[in-house]
Amino acid sequence: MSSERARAILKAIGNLKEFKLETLSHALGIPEATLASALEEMKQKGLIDFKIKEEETYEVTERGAKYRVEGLPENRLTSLLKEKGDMEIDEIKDRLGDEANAAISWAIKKGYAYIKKESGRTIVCFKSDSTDTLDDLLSKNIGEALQRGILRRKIVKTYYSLITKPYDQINPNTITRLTHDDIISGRWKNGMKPYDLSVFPQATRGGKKNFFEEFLSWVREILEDMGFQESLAPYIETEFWNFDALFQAQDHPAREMHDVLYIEGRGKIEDKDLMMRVAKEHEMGWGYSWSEEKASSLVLRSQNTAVSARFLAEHKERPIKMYSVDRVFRKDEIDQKHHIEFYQSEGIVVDKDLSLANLLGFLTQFAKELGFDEVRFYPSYFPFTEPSVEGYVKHPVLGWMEALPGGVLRPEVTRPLGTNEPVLAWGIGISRLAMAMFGLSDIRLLYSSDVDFLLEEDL
Amino acid sequence: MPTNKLSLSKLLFDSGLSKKELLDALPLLKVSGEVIGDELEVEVTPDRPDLLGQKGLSKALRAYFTGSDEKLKTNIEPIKVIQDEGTFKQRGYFQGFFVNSVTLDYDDIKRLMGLQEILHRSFCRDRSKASIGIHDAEGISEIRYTVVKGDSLKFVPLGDSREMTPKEILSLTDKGTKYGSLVKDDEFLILVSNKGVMSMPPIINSAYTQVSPSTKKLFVDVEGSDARSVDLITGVMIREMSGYGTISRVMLRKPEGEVLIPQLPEKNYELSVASVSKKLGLSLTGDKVAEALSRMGHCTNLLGEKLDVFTPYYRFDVMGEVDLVEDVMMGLGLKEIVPSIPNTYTIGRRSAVTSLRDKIRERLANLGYVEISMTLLSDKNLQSTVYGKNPINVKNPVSSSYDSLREGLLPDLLQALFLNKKKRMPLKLFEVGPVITKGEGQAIQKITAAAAISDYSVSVEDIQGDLLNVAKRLRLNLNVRPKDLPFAIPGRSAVFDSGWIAEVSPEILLKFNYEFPVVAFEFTATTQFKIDIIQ
Repeated sequence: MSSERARAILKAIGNLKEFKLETLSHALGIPEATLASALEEMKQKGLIDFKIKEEETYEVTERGAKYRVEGLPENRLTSLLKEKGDMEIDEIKDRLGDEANAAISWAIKKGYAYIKKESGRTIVCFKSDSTDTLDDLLSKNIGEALQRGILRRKIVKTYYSLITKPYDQINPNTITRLTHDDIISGRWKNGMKPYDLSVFPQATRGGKKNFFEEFLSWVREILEDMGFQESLAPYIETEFWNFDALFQAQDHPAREMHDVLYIEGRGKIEDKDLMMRVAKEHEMGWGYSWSEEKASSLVLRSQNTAVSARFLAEHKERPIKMYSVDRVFRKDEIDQKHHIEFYQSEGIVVDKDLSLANLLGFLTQFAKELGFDEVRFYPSYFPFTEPSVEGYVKHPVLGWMEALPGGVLRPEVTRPLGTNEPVLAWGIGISRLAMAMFGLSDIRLLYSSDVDFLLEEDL
Repeated sequence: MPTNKLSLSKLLFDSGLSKKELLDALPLLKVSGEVIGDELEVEVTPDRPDLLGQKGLSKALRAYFTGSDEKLKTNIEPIKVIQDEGTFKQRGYFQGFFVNSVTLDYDDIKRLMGLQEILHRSFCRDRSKASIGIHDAEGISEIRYTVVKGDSLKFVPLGDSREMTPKEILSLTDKGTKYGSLVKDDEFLILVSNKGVMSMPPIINSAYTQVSPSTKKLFVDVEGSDARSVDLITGVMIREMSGYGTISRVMLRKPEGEVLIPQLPEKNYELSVASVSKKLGLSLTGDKVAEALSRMGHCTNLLGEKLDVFTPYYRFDVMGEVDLVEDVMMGLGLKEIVPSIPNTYTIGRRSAVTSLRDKIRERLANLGYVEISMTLLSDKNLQSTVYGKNPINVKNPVSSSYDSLREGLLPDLLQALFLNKKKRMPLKLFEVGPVITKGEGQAIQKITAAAAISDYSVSVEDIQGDLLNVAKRLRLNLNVRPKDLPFAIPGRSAVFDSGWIAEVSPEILLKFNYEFPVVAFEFTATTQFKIDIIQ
């Protein structure tokens, strides 16, 4: 810490008997945390002495400030409903945006509105005017205000029993911070002020790799140890590779606008011969007229099996063990359990004479390496594999969880790619497994940028 | 995946299973079930719509436990059913059958309507590909599927008491407004009997054919624009209805001649026992394979090493050998298959791109930076605020926070700094991850690395050394030259071959509600893919 800063701090404290950290921080324009460690350092140097008391109070959050301007969301909703009549949830979302969910749930909870279902539509209906105000909440219902993120708890630090030393009265000959010059000049012989090393500042914050990236890296390592080589493919993908090459019919429900994220424009299907072979499988298997235009639409890759299909088309050597641990994108509501961007751990094995028992073998081994000793398999369905299975693993806390979907690629998928051998394939939702293994209940935490969270030693 | 609610007690009665046996058996048939009171909510996979119904599921369970399925017996009903040429233009595929000696209680009727509804929504794609009608057929001696004009006749639609013309039904009833767009021009499809209008597919039934517990005879029709869907739904409905009475098929008179409907084709496959064994990784006898298939509803004849397999009419998912292999797997139970890893020699290897990412991540973490890892999907306003140009947009975004693809990592770093504003300074953050930029008729996918330091006071010199350190690690020759950048303080930024280093301008910082100085660098570690985009 510079002596200028220490001087500025002492000057600001002046003759005060006590001060709040927050007040001094504002006065000096130094963040509270930085100021607190500066004060500790000054205490060590004997420039100041103090005691600290901490009190819990509340402060209004950014959301609270927003509500002060806009009004409480449930009030906005009830006046909206009163004005426009009953509304569908989507309509409310259009009008109230991010606050729609809060508005609906609080209005219902408080009995100002209710929900009715009508031929598959969810409609929110007006019941009575809301009489709540933000000030009521802040003064009478702190519990609710905290729950809703209108208030947050805050620790106010007060420094008292202050004893300060005027800066110029410090013995210029007593050394606090020893320097190179002090050693050369012999000034160190004047004596050095003792430090109280039982008093510590906050722990040093070091650099750290991201826990989720490290988890993904560990998964890659496991697969590499099992003999798999990594393959990468573009995130912007034609529907051809994302769906058609995987024998998913062009009117398959998964291909609709409400399930996949689309990109403007059309892509190129490079290999026309392959395209014709795929088209033929679709027309023979599903009995419809296949469209190149549909197949050329661009999507954000929604399944990493697309990576496998590209790999199979390009690699004719045998045997093959390929993996991809990478991002996929789906159109979905974002909440604790769902995200529109998440990771899949994809794998394929190609060799002559592979069997379903081998697929179960790879999945069991993979689960074991991840730390799940118990695995159970049930039959399942995926459009591009037959037979298909779903592996369940036993988590010590969460119990049996769906974790290992896989199968043998259908001949309608492998035939056009020129693959004659069996292809064992799986696509594991690795984000969900990461959540289970880190004990996280919210998928959004995988993308957290909160440094305190990221530096937690358990992660 | 489609779900339906079934009566638990009837399912137990029909299948002869205990509740525990039932719940244990469902996943063996790819059905997931949850008991809610006296109802069982089932979710089936898209390949097995026949398991969605009360009777279809209990038949499959019974076959699984007794070892074989009952064979469908049908009669032929001597009632005239006629399809007029006018119907060919829109929903020209028509199937229909009678069910005799039915006994239905209110719960059965509720289940049938539920099944019809769920099939309409899922497999019929909201009635566009096919639709189903279930009618009380008492006193009917002739049925005609034909086309009429919108005001040429009147009937009472189901759920109403007034007589209406087809046109009025479109505007006056819920179903009419919901499905009206499926009617083309002024041509309304009508199913009419000697007693009057039975239904107006795919919109609504008439009130007079409403099914009730006193109904003894049913007529079920399925019609639509897509032959495959019509046949599939017909198969499912026959399978289900055969649990309530005796199925009678009909001779359909079409302009080009008579044809027996529904055709109920049994598919026939020759299956090699050795091949099934090899695919499953077991050594099976012909009898064992036949037994497994029989539990799954197939009929088989064992001829030496080959099995002659007859697949029932309602199994539209079976396209070839692999589908039967899966049924053998299910018939045997997956517990019979012992996981084994083959002796396949391959070398594990990480891609060069991931290794490069790892190398940079390692170095930046060692230099004291905390790594963040954010989504590729980003907010286009944040992107253009920083880089001053528009990123690639998502056509159907979920929310404005994720409506585009990020072009660079600085916006995410600035947002992360804002979120950590109240934390102890200095903050040192980095990310190494994918970005996608716009090129000439192309999208360019790259791996980019970026790092930022923020403190009460910070100078660009504080981060220059770290950039040099990383460059040394990567054997990069930076070749730096000063250049003003849109997001940097004028005179305090520079570019090099693959990136930039700068002190971020307070104008930008304040747009992120961030009031502490930030110095940062960003560079392209590698270009991964160029994706052609034709506009």
